[in-house]
Amino acid sequence: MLLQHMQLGTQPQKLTKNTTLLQNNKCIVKTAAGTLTLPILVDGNPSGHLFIGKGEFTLDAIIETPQGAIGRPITRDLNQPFLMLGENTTVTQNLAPATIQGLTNNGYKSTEEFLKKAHETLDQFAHRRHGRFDMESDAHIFAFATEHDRWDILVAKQDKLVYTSKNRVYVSRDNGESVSLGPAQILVAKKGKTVVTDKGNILVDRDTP
Amino acid sequence: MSEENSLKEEMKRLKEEMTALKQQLQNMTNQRTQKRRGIYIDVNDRLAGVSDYINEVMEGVTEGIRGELEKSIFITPHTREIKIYHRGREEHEPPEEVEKPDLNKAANMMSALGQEHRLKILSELMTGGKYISDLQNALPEITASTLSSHLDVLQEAGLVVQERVRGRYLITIPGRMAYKMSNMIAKQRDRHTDTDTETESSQP
Repeated sequence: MLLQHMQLGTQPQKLTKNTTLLQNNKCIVKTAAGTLTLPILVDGNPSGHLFIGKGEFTLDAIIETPQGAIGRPITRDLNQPFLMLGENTTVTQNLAPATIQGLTNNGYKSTEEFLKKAHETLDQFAHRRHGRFDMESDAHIFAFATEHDRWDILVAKQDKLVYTSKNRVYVSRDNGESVSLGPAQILVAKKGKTVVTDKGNILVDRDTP
Repeated sequence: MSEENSLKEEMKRLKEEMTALKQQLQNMTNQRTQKRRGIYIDVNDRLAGVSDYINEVMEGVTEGIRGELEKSIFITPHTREIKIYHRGREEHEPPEEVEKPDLNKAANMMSALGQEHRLKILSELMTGGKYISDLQNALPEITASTLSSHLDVLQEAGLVVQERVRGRYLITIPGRMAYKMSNMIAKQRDRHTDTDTETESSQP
């Protein structure tokens, strides 16, 4: 699928219930009831959703080492628009057409105003990127808009995930392999070995639990 | 007759000279052997001060080498922590200011440690991440509400971190160090208390 081929549906919808979009051992993405959404179509096929409303994203960017745990949970409110690429049957089950009241509750006076904002969001994300993505059925890509016209990206497949933000990259695999790059710290845990660099110190250890 | 006597005298004198020369040769051989085995300085002669001087010089050289090594790379064997310093930094940049310890933070951490139940919680977490139900089972003497309160204090002090998704509690690197430190202090205290008691009892 080419990113440039992504299009939005024309009928605004809203979530009727609080909905968990993704949950694995390391992260949760939730949206609140009343959040507005539009389907994302690639070559005419439904391939995801664009959400504008309220939600929460939590990532346990913590790595266990024999010397103790390093890192902390990252939690952020999803008040800015965000995209989800990938199948999610729970979302489709919890959708209903958005009413004017539903649009007003999210700060939009009309369907046109909401659609304009939605298209601007997709343009910012897709039209600045040139590439393609091949989605597996159980994989999801999230793109969270931030205040500085940047996007935090989360790619998840079962318990494997990659998260990139302005000053952090976190990679975790289901076999315990992890990489965390922060402003002052780099941590790599792989095959029972851990390497941490933290403000000029280097800690090398084996036998990661 | 007198000639015979004089010859005998001469023979005796030569024998004595020969014995003296042999003794001298033996001494020289001994000295050479000692020199070959190591540095030989006769402390009774005027060179007695050289020994101290050489020792001082050697200490200075050793200190210098150690200093250079520490400036290049410093390895703490127990923590397996390696600190790397850039050797040329002091020539181009002003030296970094020595970081002052945050006593308030240290006091908060020590305060969090100052409770037996909290130390027991840390002890449980030393073996790996635990759910609160695991901790309740392992520490039945602590009520659920107290356990939760203790975990909050430990988290506040940065000794424990909780996973938001799974809810497990994990001991952090400072937490592990703090727990080990508290155990070491307790052991040292016991050792010194025993020594003091023995010293007191041995006095008449």
